[in-house]
Amino acid sequence: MRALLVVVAVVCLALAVFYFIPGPYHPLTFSGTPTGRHTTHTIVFLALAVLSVIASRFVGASKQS
Amino acid sequence: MTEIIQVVVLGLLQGVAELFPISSLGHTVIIPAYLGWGNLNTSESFLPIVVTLHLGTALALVAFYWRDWAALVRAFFVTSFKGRLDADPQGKTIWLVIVGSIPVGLLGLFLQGPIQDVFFSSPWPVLPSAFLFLNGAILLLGERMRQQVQPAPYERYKPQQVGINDLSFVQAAIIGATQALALIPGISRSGVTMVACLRAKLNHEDALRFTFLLATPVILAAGLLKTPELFGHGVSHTTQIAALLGGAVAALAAYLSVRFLTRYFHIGRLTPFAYYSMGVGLVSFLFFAPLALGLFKLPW
Repeated sequence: MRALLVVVAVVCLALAVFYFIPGPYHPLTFSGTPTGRHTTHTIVFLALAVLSVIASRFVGASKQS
Repeated sequence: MTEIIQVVVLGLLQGVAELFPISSLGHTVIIPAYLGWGNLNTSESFLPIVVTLHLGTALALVAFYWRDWAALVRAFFVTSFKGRLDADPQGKTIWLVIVGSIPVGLLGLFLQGPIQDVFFSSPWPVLPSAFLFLNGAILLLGERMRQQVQPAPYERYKPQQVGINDLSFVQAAIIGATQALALIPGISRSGVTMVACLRAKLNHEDALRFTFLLATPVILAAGLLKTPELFGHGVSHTTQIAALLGGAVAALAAYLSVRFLTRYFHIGRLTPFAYYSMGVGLVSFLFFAPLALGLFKLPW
């Protein structure tokens, strides 16, 4: 479970970077142009990455105790 | 001046209808259509205005539950730094709220655009009316199903209802996901979330509290992320003032609504809201469907 949450965090971080970089085609975006920078998507995926890292610590702590 | 009056009326509607389980978005689409304010619904500034009204509602929720939120924010930092859920008495609650907010956040991010295209493309709210009727049916069904699982008298010693902290994270995610239905105008966020909470065996008071705790970050985030659009190019000064005034009215109405609802659900049920939604939804559908088909025109 801990490894899964770390993988989720890495994927979310990658998606946050992907949506932040203008140029490539960004699927599932409905404001502005698909190739533009999508700050909302970036913020959401960045928040998810942070939350996944914190949650992975809970799993680790519950296994130790 | 007309725009200011329109937005203030919308603020009043939003503040009341967002927290009552009768769909605020549905009402902010249906009522302007009845009044012949179609220009407001289809204007570029309508969605940013609706978002500002949501922001007012979220601030009212934060103000009403400020002690809960202060404890929850503290619990978030304590549990995060210590890496244990039991490091704070509210530790599990804040993470249930977070897990419950993720599905609606993601679904809103990906689906809000296409849903808006479908529902805001027509000046006549035929689909929102139909979904308002469906909202009533969901509330009625939820209340009936809850009554059916009431324990028999000889089983009453068994604990049948659970508290918020007894919910599992999977249950919180499912309850949170039901919030996404509220992206559809006509479906009430608080209504469907309360029904999901009742299905998870929470009582009405805990269901209402968890519903509002789940709604606050979503409404607040949506408001904060979209508010810059209100101050962007092409939005008039009058619209900005109207939106701020509407937000203040929405906040006041929402605060009074949440005060009323927390008292009402000591003994109250969802049933009256179900009948209201079904009635208004049906009448509106029968009114707007011929207009959408071009069979007659509004005399005003």
